[in-house]
Amino acid sequence: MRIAFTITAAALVLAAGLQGTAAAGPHGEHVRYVSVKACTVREVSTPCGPWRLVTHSGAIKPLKDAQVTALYANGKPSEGTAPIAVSGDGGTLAYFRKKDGRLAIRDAAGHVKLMPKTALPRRTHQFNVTFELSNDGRRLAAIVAGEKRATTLLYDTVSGITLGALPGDESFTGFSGDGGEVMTSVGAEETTTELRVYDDTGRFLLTRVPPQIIANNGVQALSPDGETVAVLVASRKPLLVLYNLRTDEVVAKHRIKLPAGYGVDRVAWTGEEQVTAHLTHGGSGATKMRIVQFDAANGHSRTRDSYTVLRDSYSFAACGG
Amino acid sequence: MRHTTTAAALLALAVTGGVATVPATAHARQADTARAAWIKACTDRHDTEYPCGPLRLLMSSGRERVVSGAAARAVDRRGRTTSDPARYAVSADGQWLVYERAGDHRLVLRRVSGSPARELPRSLVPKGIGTSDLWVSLSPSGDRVLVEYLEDAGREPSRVLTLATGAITKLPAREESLRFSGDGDEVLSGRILSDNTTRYTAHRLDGSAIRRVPPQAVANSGTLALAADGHTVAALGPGNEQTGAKPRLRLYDLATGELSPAVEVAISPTVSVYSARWSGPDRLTVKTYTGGDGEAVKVRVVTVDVTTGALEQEDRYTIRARVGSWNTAGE
Repeated sequence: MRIAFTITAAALVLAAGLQGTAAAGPHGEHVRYVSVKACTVREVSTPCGPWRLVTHSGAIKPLKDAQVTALYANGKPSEGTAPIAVSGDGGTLAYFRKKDGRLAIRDAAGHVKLMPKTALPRRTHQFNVTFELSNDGRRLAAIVAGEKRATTLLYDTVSGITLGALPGDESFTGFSGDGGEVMTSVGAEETTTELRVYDDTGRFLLTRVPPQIIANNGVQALSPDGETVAVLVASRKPLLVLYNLRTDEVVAKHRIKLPAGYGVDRVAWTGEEQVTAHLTHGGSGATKMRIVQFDAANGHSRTRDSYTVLRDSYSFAACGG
Repeated sequence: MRHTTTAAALLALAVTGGVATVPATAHARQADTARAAWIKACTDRHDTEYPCGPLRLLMSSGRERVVSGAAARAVDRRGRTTSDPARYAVSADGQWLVYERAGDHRLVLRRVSGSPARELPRSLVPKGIGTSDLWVSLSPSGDRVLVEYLEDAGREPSRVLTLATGAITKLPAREESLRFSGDGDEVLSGRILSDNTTRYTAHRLDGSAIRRVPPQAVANSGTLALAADGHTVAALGPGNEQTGAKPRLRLYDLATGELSPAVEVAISPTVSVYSARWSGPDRLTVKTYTGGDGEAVKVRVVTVDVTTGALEQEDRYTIRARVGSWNTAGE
């Protein structure tokens, strides 16, 4: 899947006319995370200023065209923060454009593509929307909450086409490693949690009631082939557990090392045999982030990146992979 | 035991079960048996409820009896009176009662029909543990007493007293929500493991055990009962009030990991299923209730065929309002 990504990135960079030096690899000048500053007036914190892109080199650049305060469908500001997402490889951003509320996709070179005006249902409040990008940024999910018309819409960010929708009563858990499938979880009969897999057009593929160890350990990540679920058990004896949805079997329980005091924020497959976790350490003061890659074959790990989120952040969104 | 004065369920896991024997002489003339025991709630001047008055029995005849000499409130580890109700339990056959003696809070056992109270060994309430830190239950025929120590009391192993021999078996600590099997020869327990799964164990009293991490449908069912065979677990789900889905019953074999298909049980999802116990080779006795929280507690007892889910009503009764705590026979 890395090959596909590299070609895409190159194509995008060329199309954008090469601004500055193109990223050498997936994590060259790509975005580590985006953050918006907190301003405190009379003990009430609000987001202020533009979203800031923080790159792997540590550079901070304002993202001036992205909406910061979430708007009501009628254009009035709410108290929420507008959604924004960074793809796992840090190369793609999805957000609402400030000028007109259009859904915008920005690539690593800064080229912005606008999705059709009809991409989201009419009269959608921005604060009801959450964006999730696939690892390579080629697929976008817009999770639209709301009592009556909850839905998850799936898009091709390259063509701008809406590919399909997922049932609104299922929770979107993420894209598969290559973006070809999506997974949801849903509270089923007998108070069980069920996992369902769809292709990227929303066509149903399979469903399972997984064992307790998969259901009870938070973030479930789907492998590139759409068959294996990975979870991290963050306990005294941390584990990377792999579960095959097709055969309904736990195929591996690797003992792993997790840094003390860190919680699991995101988990994603970043290769055929690689699971990447974003680990956060809240504590007092700034959020510390550590990104660890696990070898799915044996649980061996290496820290890919670690950083401290800007102290003045009101809100931030990290790349997933 | 259900508390209405203390809102929180004291046990983390909701394993229920116990019991077996069908009253052998159901048709014969016999002494009146107890359906349930309960303690009233009173309100102090700060409007806080506390258990008060004597321990009362609701009899099968519909009469009510007072158990004289029973404490109403449990004590803490230093012997101070707490606002928790005293501990008590009625065997499934309705013939035996274990309770906390007023004054010294010693656990004692007596026949419901009236017999001198038998003092249970002091070691059932170890030093440093108050009666408010424990949970007591009886085997279906009242021939064994199970004492479980709650989380606050540390890692004290649970104890099973066999009355005929006086033998006390200690079960591994940190196992929770213990309940007797259908014949009282085993105890079912649950434990949340470090990987966030719940494992269930059937303990024999000789120290052997079979244990397994069951599928979600069993672990999340809410009501479990271990059969007299010591390895089959009945798991009864809660139903879903919003969708109207009725409770579903499955059988799970702790020895093999085999899970039966679900059968639907014709119990309204608006009532709370709070207890299930095996009362025959293919039969569960299930209890539901409505009310509580200042309302009268209405208990319904049904038997369920475990293979078909077919249901028959056995009994229904009401425990009058302002109940501080209540505990039904073989719960």
